Amino acid sequence: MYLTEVNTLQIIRKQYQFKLKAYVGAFTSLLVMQVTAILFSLGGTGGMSSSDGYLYISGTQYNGSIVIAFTMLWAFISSILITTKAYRNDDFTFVTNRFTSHVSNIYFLLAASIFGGITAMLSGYLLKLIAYLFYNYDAILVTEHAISSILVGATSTIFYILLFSALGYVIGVLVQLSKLFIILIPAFVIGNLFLQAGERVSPLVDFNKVVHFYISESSILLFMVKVSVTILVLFSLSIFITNRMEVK
Amino acid sequence: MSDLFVFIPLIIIVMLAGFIVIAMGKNSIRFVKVPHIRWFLTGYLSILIIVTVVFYFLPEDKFASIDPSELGAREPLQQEFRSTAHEGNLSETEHVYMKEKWEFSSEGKTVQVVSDSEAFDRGMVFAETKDSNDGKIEVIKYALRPTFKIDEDYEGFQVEFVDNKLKVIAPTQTSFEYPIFQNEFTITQFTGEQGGHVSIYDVLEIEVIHVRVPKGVELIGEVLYVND
Repeated sequence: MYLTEVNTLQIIRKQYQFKLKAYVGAFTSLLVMQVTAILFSLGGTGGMSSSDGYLYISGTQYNGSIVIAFTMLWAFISSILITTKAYRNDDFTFVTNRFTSHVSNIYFLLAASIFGGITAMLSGYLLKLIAYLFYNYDAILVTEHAISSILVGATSTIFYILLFSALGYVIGVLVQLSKLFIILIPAFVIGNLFLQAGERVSPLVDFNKVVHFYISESSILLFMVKVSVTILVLFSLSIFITNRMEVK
Repeated sequence: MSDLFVFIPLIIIVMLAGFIVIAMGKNSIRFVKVPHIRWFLTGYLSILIIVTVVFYFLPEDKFASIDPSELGAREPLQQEFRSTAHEGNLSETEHVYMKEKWEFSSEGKTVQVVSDSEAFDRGMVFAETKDSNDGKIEVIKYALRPTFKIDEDYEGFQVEFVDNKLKVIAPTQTSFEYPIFQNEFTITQFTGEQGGHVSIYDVLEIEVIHVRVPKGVELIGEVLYVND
């Protein structure tokens, strides 16, 4: 019997609130990443040209795909960063255990992914508006931009970012388990890419198939299920791995 | 969707680089803190929301709406367009319209078709002999309507009649740059929107010239006679 009853949910909430303030720098790097991506995208995110000898046409595509890709990278790197010892030690300001620390981290990553997903998705409109206002085009080809597509786009972007967060998080946890993973993980990724490029030996993991599993899904609901299951597995794995570690 | 594949090598490289830098960083790497970052973030999000709203209220006079599923649809039609021209049925063909018409007076027995262009080829001028000799050469230019027209001023091939020669004048070389506002891969994945590759056939009016000559007058040069 204690004077103050410790409630797990309350601890998680307090840690989450603390992390929203303490890790606010993560949003600074998000801002820098997205502004950099927007600058990269000002020249267009793709192009095409065609000619019949008399008429030469060249098209430049504008959308926020590069910003979304940069945001995924940011999520991956930020997730690794919050698993480092410096950040883990911050949790000990509170009455904590590994589980509450992980869950509050996951909540933080969820909040960051939502913010990152929405801003990444909307940045495409900023690019299009800049192209409309400042580039002297006579005509602009536009595919259908239904308002409902913003919702679909923002949702799937958030899920993509969460997927990269979960991936970064589990990799970060693995490195905390053993520094050997600093060598093993890049070696695995690069080695696998070489095997994939060659034809004699089949790769351990076919990255193309993994990517296809997510990007070829045309149903938003099934995509959400696929990503949700994956991140659940990755975060559970992170929690399971660290259960075997020493307290600090 | 293909956008993501383009970025995959870059994503992997940066992910590995970021991972190695952080992992080797002896736990001293922390997020950079900037004063008043909350205000920056609020301002940034507000700007993006306003921009999105403004985008949907932009005047549409510059916009040419495209349906990516229609892109590339004209390319296979151009062969059919020429074979229909050979049959003399262009006036009844879907997507084909009469673009220009000329009429010249002819006196000789032969009219030569010439061109100033190397690109002028057999299969562009189709000839037909009228039932009577009214002394008039009728020249009709038919065009295959493109998926969307990007240059209203583009006139295409022109025709002149000088010294009993029918001269086909090639259009001057022009270039046209246009932007395409597309959705992000996180949207196109679910809407089924294609890549939006615009080919020359989607924007260019393919043209053929139909020449009706009076009875007893022969066209010579790079000409195909209708139903011949």
